[in-house]
Amino acid sequence: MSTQTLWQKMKNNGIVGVLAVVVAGIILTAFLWWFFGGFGFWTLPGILLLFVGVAETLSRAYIAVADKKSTTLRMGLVVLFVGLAGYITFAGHVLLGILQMLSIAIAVIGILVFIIGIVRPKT
Amino acid sequence: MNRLTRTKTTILVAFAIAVIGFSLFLTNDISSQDGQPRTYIIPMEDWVHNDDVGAVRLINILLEEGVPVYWALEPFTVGGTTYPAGTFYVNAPFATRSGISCDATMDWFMWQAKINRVWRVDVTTETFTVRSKQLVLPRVAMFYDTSTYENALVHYLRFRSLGFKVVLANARDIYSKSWNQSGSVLSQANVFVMPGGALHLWSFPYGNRRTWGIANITEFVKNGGGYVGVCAGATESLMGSPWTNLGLVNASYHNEWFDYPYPWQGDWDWRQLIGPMYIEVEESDHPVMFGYGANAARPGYGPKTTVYYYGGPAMYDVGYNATILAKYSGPVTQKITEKVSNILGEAAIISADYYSGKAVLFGPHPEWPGPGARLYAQALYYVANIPKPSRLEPNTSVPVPSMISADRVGKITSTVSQIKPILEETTRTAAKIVNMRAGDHYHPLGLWYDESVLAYSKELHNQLNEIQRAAVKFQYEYFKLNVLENMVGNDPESLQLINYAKAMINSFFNLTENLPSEPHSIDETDWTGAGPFEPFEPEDEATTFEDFVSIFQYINNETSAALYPYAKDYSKLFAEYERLRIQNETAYTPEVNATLADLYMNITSSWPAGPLYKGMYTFRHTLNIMQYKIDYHLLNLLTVADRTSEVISCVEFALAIKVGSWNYALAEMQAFLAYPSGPFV
Repeated sequence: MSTQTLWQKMKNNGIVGVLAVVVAGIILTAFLWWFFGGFGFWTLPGILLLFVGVAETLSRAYIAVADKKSTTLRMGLVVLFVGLAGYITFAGHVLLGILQMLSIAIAVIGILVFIIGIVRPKT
Repeated sequence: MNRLTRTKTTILVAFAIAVIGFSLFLTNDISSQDGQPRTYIIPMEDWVHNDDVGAVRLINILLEEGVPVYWALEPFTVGGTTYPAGTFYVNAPFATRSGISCDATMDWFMWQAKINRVWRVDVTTETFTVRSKQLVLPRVAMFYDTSTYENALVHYLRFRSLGFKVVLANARDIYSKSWNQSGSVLSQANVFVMPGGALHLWSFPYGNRRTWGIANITEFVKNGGGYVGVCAGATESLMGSPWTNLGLVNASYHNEWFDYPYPWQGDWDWRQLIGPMYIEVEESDHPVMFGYGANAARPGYGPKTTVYYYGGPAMYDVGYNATILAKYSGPVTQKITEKVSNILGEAAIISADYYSGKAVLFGPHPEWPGPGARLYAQALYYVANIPKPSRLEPNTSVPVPSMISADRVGKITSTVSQIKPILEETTRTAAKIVNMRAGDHYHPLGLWYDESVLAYSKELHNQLNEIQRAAVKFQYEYFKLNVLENMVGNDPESLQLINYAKAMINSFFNLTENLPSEPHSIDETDWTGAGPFEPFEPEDEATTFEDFVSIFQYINNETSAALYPYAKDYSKLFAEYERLRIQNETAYTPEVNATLADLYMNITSSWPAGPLYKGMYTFRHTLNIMQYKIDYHLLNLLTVADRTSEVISCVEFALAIKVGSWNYALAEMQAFLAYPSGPFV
């Protein structure tokens, strides 16, 4: 399978729009980081956008490589990365333990769904 | 799983691990400080990122915790950034009063900064030298007596927003004990604030007690105390005042405005100036004026700023010990008549030295909403020079209870629930009275106090809500502290902090159960002959929070049975006067003029008292009860509640660092299960 074909397949799956989301996430994170003076819970919107974009990119890469769709895997990735986004923005704040726990719970659910998506892909 | 799938999975997992690694890298960016020397700089002029009121509030909490905070008195440059005079900074490391580590304190500060809209705090390891003042936390004693009206309330609200903990001082507090006598209000303060209102020295009983009161205030300032006077509070510190005065500042003011040659005319002119006034800064390098003037960065702070004006002194002949900081530049939209046009260019804000003490006088009102808040905070920082301990420290030697019982909280919540419908009725009646439009502050015949009753009704509602919220939340926090106590084991530092926070919470509840006595007596009649009112006896006064129900019922009855009918009759007289006044202006005849003069003289007669004075003192009867027998206690409770909240916030942050965020979360969850409404009230 050539790279060109992989990229073409990803392009057909809307990877350009997804990358735009990633770029928007990076820009929003950078802005929030600059505006509020550092990294913390206030950067959550940007990180969330960025990570959802990453999850979607991975999902599309999988679709292109495997040449079949897996909505379960895609959902698993999105949930995992939403959990990760929450965790990394809350982890530096000692008072946000509950939110850290919730984020990790979401990430674990995402991992489980992701594994199910790998083992029993639902197309 | 075939080979291709395994490869794909490996790639995806590797990518995910890379993202998680990146995440941990980001997370480390906001980890705790490392104990290295560093300076935290709060750029006050960065108005996009930083709210200056929020910044001052946080600085006051730091000062309360014993953190040395410095106030740059000149511009300085660090790391390529130039900070103007007036910038606050904190040098770490330092030792705190309660023993909480420097790093934990500053982590907590950075957290508080983010949730209080102080988004930019510059941290540098670069050392620098700048002429600075180490701030002394202003311990404010504010005059709160018959002449302060609701302006004392407006002051309190402004001080509260800025995080200053105020002691309410009535005339008896001032004259009954010497300024330096242990336990006196002035001995525990380093700043005395005279708000606006009437001339307050009239609140002191004539004779020795007034003399002692004046001597105590002047000696307090002479020996290093600070004095901040606003409006009437500024007027009566002037040597040039024709009335009894404190003689702190060598200046006069335009008191001729308040004379009028024809008694039936009334003093219209100065009233037309009520409203926002442009202030031109004369001394932008003076600490009180930092951030204001020609080079002001914040919108509305310069080149001219606006401060609310309400007939305060326009000062002139400013003498040897005083500096003019700002002058009146003109009203924003108000009418300025010939009689009061000499306000333009006269001193609006003055700073003065009085022996070892300092005074700042404001003609206009910096406590009102607008850009004056920082001005007021800076005046307090400028005049506060002698460190004084907090009056709100709890007695930690007395054992604290194992829990805050449901009964203790229930008494507060059920009392508030009983009061609210009564207060709502009072507020509706007060609004009806105001809508009769006979209270106009711009009019010499305006009843004036009707708006005060409405303002108090509204504010009492807010305060009751806040006290109820505090009670419920404190019960929840107390339980959480118990859980944390079990988590920290035998760590003496943590146990001491927990005990301190619990004692503070307990002191709040103790205050609701043992309200201090308040010295004012509520007469059945007054000098105007108004009344007789239903007696308000000493046994009617509140000694516990639950007693407020009957007092609220009392003022509700009085508002509907005495104030409403009076206002109704007065509004007819007021309307008749207005009709004749307009007729006199548009179709003058000697007869109409004579009728108008007679009516005016009749309404405003001071002895025997006419309807205006009788009405004002009828309203004052209700206001006295609202102000002294209710709000005095509620404001004291709010002060303790605010300080308690600060202590809880700081202590719990330190404990969270000690036990870790997940253990802290477990404590939160246990407390939530025990008191679900706690964190959400």
